[in-house]
Amino acid sequence: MTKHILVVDDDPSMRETVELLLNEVHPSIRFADGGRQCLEELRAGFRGLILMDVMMPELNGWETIAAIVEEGLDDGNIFCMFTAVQDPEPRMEFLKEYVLDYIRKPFTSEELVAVVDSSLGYLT
Amino acid sequence: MRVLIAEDDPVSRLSLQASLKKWGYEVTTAIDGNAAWEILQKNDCPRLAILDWEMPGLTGVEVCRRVRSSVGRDYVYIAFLTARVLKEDIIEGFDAGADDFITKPFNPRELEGRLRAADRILDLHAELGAIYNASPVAMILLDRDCRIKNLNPTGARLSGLSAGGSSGAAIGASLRCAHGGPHTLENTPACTCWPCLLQRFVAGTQRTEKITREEVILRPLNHSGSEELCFLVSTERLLVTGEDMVLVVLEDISARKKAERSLADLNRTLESRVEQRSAEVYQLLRQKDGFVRRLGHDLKTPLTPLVALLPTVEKRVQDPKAKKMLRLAIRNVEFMRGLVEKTLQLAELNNTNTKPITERIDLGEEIRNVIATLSYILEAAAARVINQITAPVWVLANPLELREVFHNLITNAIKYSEGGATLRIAATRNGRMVTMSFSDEGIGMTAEDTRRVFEEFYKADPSRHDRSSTGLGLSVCRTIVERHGGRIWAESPGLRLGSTISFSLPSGEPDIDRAGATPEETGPCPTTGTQNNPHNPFKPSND
Amino acid sequence: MNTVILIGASTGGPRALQTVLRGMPPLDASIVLVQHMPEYISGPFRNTLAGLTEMQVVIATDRMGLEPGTVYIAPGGIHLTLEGNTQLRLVQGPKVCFVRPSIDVAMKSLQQKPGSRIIGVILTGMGQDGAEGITHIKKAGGITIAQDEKSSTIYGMPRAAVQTGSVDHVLPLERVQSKLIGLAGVLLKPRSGG
Repeated sequence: MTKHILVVDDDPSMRETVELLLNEVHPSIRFADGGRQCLEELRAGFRGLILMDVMMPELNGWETIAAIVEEGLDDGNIFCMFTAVQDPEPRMEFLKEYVLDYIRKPFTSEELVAVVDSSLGYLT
Repeated sequence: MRVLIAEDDPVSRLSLQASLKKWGYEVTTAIDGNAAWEILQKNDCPRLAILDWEMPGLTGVEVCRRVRSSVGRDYVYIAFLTARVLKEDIIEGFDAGADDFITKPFNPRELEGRLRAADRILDLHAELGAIYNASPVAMILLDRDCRIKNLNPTGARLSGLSAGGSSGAAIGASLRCAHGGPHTLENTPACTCWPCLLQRFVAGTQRTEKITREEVILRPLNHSGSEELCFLVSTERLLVTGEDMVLVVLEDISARKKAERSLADLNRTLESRVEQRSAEVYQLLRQKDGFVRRLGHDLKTPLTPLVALLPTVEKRVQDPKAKKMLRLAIRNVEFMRGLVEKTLQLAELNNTNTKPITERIDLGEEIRNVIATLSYILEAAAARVINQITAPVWVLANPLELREVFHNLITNAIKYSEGGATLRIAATRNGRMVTMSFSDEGIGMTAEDTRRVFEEFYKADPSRHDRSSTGLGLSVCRTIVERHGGRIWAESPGLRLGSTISFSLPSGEPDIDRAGATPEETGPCPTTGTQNNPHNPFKPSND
Repeated sequence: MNTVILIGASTGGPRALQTVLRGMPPLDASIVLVQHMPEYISGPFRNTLAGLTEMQVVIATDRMGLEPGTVYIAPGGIHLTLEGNTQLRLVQGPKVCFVRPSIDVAMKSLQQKPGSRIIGVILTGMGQDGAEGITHIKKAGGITIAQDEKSSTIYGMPRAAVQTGSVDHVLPLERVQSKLIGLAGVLLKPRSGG
């Protein structure tokens, strides 16, 4: 069974970097340039691992997850956050159940692969 | 010296007048008691009066009584001239206020002697009076019924009270509130008119025998402007000619107070200016830290493709020259990454709001741990670290931050030693602080270096653009040590002679009553014995 | 002597728990894991961990009795408590510290009992769930451990625990396993499967 990955980041270089590092092993990787596109993907039926940037214009990563939970689209998905900030915002703590892991920028290819492999293991 | 002779008998009068003139006196004469009293009522009357006992009109004794009962005037020396020397008369005369008795007919030499004595007394009176009158200190003498018995010109000027004055009470009269209020102390405790104030001072002395002193703000009567003056008021109970009286002395200390106030104002202004400046500086520092943090975080995102992709590309490329180029690029990217991380770390440590969370840490044990984690670096550099801390030395520190200091100092020593570093690490406790030192045999420092190595981005040799150091490692060490309340410094005998970095940290020596054993009893190396014992009172913090 | 090791983790926890359990020999203790996660992950999470250790790994069910050498995973969406330090209970209830299961709820159900030893561990995670629980365990005579800042994906929960002053050992992640082995010891006769 193919496990799907959705990368949500407003920065094209970030999306391309993740694609270059992962697409040999995970050819079905998909991309969204922000929270709205991410929600559209989920509404269209995406289920899998979602790698989400925190700092994005319009909807940031946390707000996007809140919207996903609100619409009941969280079921069957696993969230990992990309972040440049050391500590997450405490006011988003109520969403922590949904976020299994955190990836700090700048990450090495090995770090990204480790988080992705570990997280994909929790998908059925 | 002027003298009044009051004598109805012309022979006696003329004979006396002649003698006195001969002795240098300026003589005024009165032919009866009424004339004498008229002269003595004048302000510039003679100060020495020789009164006949028996005179038409007012008797000498009567004139004497009247002189004595007028309060607040210059003293008049009164001698009686009498033919009768009756004991009763002498007693009556002294009771009336007489100073001397001269019997008729008089012996000229005796009279002259007596008059010289009178001169001396009057001179003394004049001297004391001059002081009294010229004094800038106000003196007011009152009796227990608050009648003003005497006051000097300053007292009169300030209070507006005087003989026959209209604003308060006349001398000798009992004081009345200038505002016409019901005049009891209970009713007018807050009234600031002079009669009421004096009333309060007098009442105050009834509670204590001692001199009382207080600072009082008063508005002098007839004082130009509405400026209030500050007085130091001393109130004292005195016995004056057998009568219980109260002396109120008021010293104007307004000028002193004003100087004190303006000094205090100046200090306050200065303080607030310093505070304002400090606030501005802190604001700038916060802005700087905020800017550094933002910049750091902003740099992390564009660094990601470089950090993540370059090593992958380097692995895939076969061309040796391209590989070499990529390695160069990777080294520089890693340097940038380190710079960003150290800069952010420094900004975080500088954040004054975060205090380090400290634990008790054994330095010897901690150094052993750090050496173990750095073993591959030490081996590669052929470096030798000699841990001279054999017995436990406890400090209070944040383990993560302390490890950062150790890591920076050890890697620094390796970096600045040529061909196999030797680093000696020691620790000694001095009372409430522990001093730790890292001594290497490396390239050493100049005197300027030892002063400046802890500055941000300071590099001893500015021409060195090596990518192995961010120039922030020792700044981080200083920030961490100072956050813990310690001090860090560098020493070196000179270039190529090695250097020593020392720092102090608060001691974490346990109180004897808190622990059942002293650290020494746990043995010089507590790692094996205590690690698995959860009841060890000296919990190894990071075992 | 029965030993209960209660490990609480949140963000970054699944990877951290893999590190702790990878190659873990069967301990003479029961390990109870409270990992904040959506309910649908519990099964795959169990499978992943089961592949890493010789210990039995099961998803906790109500009234399940604790056995040594076994890892019990608190399922998502329901609180977990322990009765008499020996029996698992799944309890409905509102979220505590924004989560269900809550580490505090599980830890605070542990008791000081003769013949029973309790160990509390707080690993990486946002927030401060587990800080009260760690204090409770310390007061009940237990041993307390927190992951150190450098190895934590998010230091929030370990920091909150350390700040209570009730943590005995602050450890890098890679030293948690050896510490637990040292404290609990290994089962001499490994349980037969099933």
